Amino acid sequence: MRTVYLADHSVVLALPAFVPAFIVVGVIVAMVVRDRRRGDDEHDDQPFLDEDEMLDEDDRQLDESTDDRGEDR
Amino acid sequence: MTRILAHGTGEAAAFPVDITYALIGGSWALAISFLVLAFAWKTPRLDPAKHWAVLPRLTRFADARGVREALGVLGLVLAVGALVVGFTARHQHDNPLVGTFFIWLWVGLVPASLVFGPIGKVVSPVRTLHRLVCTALHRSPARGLRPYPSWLGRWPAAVGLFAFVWLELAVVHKGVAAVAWWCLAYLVVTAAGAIVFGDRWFARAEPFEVYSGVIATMSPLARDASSRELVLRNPLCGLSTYRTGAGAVAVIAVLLGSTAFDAWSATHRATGIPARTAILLLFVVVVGVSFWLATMAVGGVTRERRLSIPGKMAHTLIPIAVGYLVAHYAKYFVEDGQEVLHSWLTAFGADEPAAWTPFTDHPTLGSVLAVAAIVVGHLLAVVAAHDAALRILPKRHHLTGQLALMLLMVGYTFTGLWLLFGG
Repeated sequence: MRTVYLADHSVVLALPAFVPAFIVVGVIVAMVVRDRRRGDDEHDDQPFLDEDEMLDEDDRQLDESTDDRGEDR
Repeated sequence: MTRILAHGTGEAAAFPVDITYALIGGSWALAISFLVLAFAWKTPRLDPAKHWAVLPRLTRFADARGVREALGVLGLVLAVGALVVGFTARHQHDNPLVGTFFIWLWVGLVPASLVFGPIGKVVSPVRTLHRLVCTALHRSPARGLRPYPSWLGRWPAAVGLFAFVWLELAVVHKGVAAVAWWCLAYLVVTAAGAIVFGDRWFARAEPFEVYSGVIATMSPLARDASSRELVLRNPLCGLSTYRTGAGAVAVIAVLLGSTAFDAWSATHRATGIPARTAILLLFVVVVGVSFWLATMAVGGVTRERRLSIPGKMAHTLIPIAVGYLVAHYAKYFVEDGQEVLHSWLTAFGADEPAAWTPFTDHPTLGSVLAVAAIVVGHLLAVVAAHDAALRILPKRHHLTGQLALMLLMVGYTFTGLWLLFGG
């Protein structure tokens, strides 16, 4: 069988494709590093759930998923 | 020999601009949107409890016993009919079983679940059969011989979905008999599971019901959590209702990895079922493991909490998976879907009506739709991931905790488009 390639694109294209993504990573990392050095980083005023609460939440989700209510039409 | 799902070729030739621009543009769009979100979207907004409107009349219609029974019986009759035709028909060509299974069921569940919600469970033939038998025996469908073990989660569904994509993509040159035997094996396994674990088995382990449920998280039609009435909502708000727990990532990794393999195998002809099986599995594992690692690349969390993040973020991959499904299957749904109807008509001796073939007539339509679906799917995934990160990551790590995932999603976009256009 003969395979005809309609288009051939080298993976090198991935380099320009990723440039903005790496710039974004660089910008955000630079900002975070600067903020942390300055030390005016806000505290975790809203720490996400602590360990016990998280376990409770997992249990709740398990419970929810086990009671199998019709949720469709 | 029927090979109904040959991958649609010609996307690259039909795309109106040089696809290099699509590859780079899609990837750039993602990075730029992430930057905008980082500065403009600072509190979680996608609350699954929010909705636009309540639909009481539609709820009454959808909950009517007659409607549900009719849809269930329709699914059952279609499944039994397709199996009978599959095992008995002499003609391999145009056998309705193959089209009904691959096009109406697998491809059709995508638009049906996007519009109507998790409809897979309503039309599921084994669920209907189980319910009818339980009613006849005067037992509750929920009762099984043993409780469903919670550690198993949705792993059986992930395995079932892999078995399906294996038949669809890894088994080349499959005859009708192979499909018929697969369906029979599926019926036996699903029925056995329901007998042992009760109807909870369907919600956790039945591949097509789980598949429909995954897609339905993006439906604008949903149930209000407390009143159970049907509501219209922002489709992105439903994503986080995707259940966490064992197998949550695996189910989506199978969907995503298999579409990537589908695109790849259109131009790379690995022959032999063992080789294709191994490569298909590799695609799925790479997608799953890369997501698992990228979501855990977060600072300031304990080990246990870190391990829980991939499951809590798994829903962010759903828009990507749906984007690929639309990109790959739109043509099959519209054009091959009609052919399946025609194959049923000819099986009963009727004439074939003329087919409507917009994608064949206008190849540009298909290629533009495919690129748009993939890019939009990834953009929605970045939005969903950002919102989820605001909800579940510690505040100091809201942005840095998403960077690895953002890079991964740019990688998925590029690879997805690159594979679609033939590498």
